[in-house]
Amino acid sequence: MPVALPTSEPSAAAEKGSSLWHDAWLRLRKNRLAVFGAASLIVIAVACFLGPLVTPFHYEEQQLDLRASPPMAELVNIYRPEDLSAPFSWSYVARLRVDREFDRTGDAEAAFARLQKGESVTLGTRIYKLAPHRHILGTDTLGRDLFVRILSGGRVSLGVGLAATFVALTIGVVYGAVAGYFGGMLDTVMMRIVDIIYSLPFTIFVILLMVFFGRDIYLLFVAIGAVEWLTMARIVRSQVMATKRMEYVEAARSLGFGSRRIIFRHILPNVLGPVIVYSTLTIPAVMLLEAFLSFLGLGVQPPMSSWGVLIKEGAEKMEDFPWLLIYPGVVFSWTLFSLNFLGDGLRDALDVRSSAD
Amino acid sequence: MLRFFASRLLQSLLALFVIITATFFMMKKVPGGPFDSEKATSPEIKASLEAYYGLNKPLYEQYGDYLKNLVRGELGPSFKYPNRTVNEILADKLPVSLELGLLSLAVALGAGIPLGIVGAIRRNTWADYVASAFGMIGISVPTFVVGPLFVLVFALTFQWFSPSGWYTASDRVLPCLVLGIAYAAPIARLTRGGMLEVLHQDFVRTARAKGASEARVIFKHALRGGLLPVVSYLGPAIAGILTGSFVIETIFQIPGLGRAFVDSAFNRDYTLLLGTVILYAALIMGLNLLVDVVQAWMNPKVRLES
Repeated sequence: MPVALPTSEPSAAAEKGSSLWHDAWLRLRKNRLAVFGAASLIVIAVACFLGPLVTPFHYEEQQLDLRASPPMAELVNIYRPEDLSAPFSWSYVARLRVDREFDRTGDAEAAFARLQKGESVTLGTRIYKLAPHRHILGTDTLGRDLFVRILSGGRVSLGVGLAATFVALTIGVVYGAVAGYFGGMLDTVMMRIVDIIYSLPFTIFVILLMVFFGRDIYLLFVAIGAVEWLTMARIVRSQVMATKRMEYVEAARSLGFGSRRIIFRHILPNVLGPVIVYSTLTIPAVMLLEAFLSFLGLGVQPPMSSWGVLIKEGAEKMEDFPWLLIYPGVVFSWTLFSLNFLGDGLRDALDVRSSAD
Repeated sequence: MLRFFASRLLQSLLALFVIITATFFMMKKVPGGPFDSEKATSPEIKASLEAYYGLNKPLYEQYGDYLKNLVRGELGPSFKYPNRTVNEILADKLPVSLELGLLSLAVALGAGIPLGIVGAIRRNTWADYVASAFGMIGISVPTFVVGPLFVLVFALTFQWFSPSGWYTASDRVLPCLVLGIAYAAPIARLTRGGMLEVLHQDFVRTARAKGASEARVIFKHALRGGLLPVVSYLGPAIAGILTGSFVIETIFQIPGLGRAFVDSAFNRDYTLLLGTVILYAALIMGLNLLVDVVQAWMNPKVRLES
């Protein structure tokens, strides 16, 4: 157990009653990479869950005239004179230059200058006007806003990561606690089962599940969670085995408490540290697996997006439109970085072994 | 040692049997068969197809037949490619994937171990930080991002390599590099940790005290103990490289086992799917067994515990 910081008044630390967590928090705060990771995660999570509500575009909205427009392209709304309320088509300045349509006005440069000042340019039966918004990361090949798709894809990726980790956490903790607490024959059988499942090629197992039972996103949670619980069960078991010999557990038992109460009230709270650390490191592993499946076309299905789906689409189109690969790839990698940094930091702050030496 | 080996072998065979059985029955339980194509098949043709593949027999009999054939090494005809057996298809694809896997493993060990050693003996210097940063990048940036990016930069922009295919020696470079780097990162991390632990031990101090050169201390004395964590990681790494090849073979369009597996899953080519699963499972578990034996040979503690 991490001991309380040596203070001149030991009783003060004891009175607070949360000194272990407080110490861990202090240690974590000193780890700059972990703090950076945590801050990044908060920014990414808030952006993903609230961002799509405030952006002017919807993740399924297609502007087919704006297929694969580059990031920050200056959008141009094109109106018909009879209907100035809504544009009937879109383009962007760079493409208008390539198309040389404005050459017909006689002085193309003057027309562009007027357009970029916000004035409208009339050409035949079309009226061109600079649009109020830009697609800051461009659009995909169906004219959908990439930024919004990354944000809403993040909801799915983060959601899968959290949900599947929760499944793994629940199964692993209960299984490991029971095996570790009761020990003996039950423990041997239970852990032998874990060993056998452990030696199965689990990626193949998840792929088979996805193939056989349809590409359902809820099944994805369960399938991934069902393979990620094994390590959790092992960790919890060994922690429980060490904890159950402590005097306070014996005291609880001599007071006549039942096994269930002893496991959940007395032992599990004391193995929380490693469980939290391992959960933090499971989330990136799960997100990676989800993206891996989606990349193969076996995970989340369009039009829903996830970071894996976006990277897959980007990889297919990268020759002509590299931003479709680069931005989703950067956001995904950044998230994994942050989770790994935070997980490492938490391990250093909470872990029994590393704080002992 | 023999007992250790025998018990691991038995466990692997049991696991393999579980995989075969579970996959077989899952496959039979799913709605939608391989002959439900867009083309309407007349009931007579469907019936004769099913008779040809033995699908009209009761389930347990099909299962028994499959196991009997499997023991003889026969995986049956492919559903999708009727004139080829699963054995032929796998024999085509396996060497490609093995080559990809072995070369990637060589890249992973060849880059990871030296980086880890440098990180450990030059601890907390810039060399260590560079190695650690590389490790973090390798762990956090997945192969399906690195792969397309490498294609974009080295194949499409600089045109040093062709973006896909598996014909010439230069076609091997990008796929093996991408897959190898992903596993070099954790290997570097583990080597660094293992070496740091060993370098503090008494026998290393003794070796230094008797005047052994620094190179001899590191390579002759410390490395054997320092690499133990790497050896125990090799099992998961091999499994990861084999399944990682699904993505690599898709990105670089390599005609290997990984693509065959994913394609057979999409095509519902059940015999091919089952055959690939069995082959993969046998490969992974066989190699894991090998790793266990190497580990037991390198570390007497493991032998005693079992």
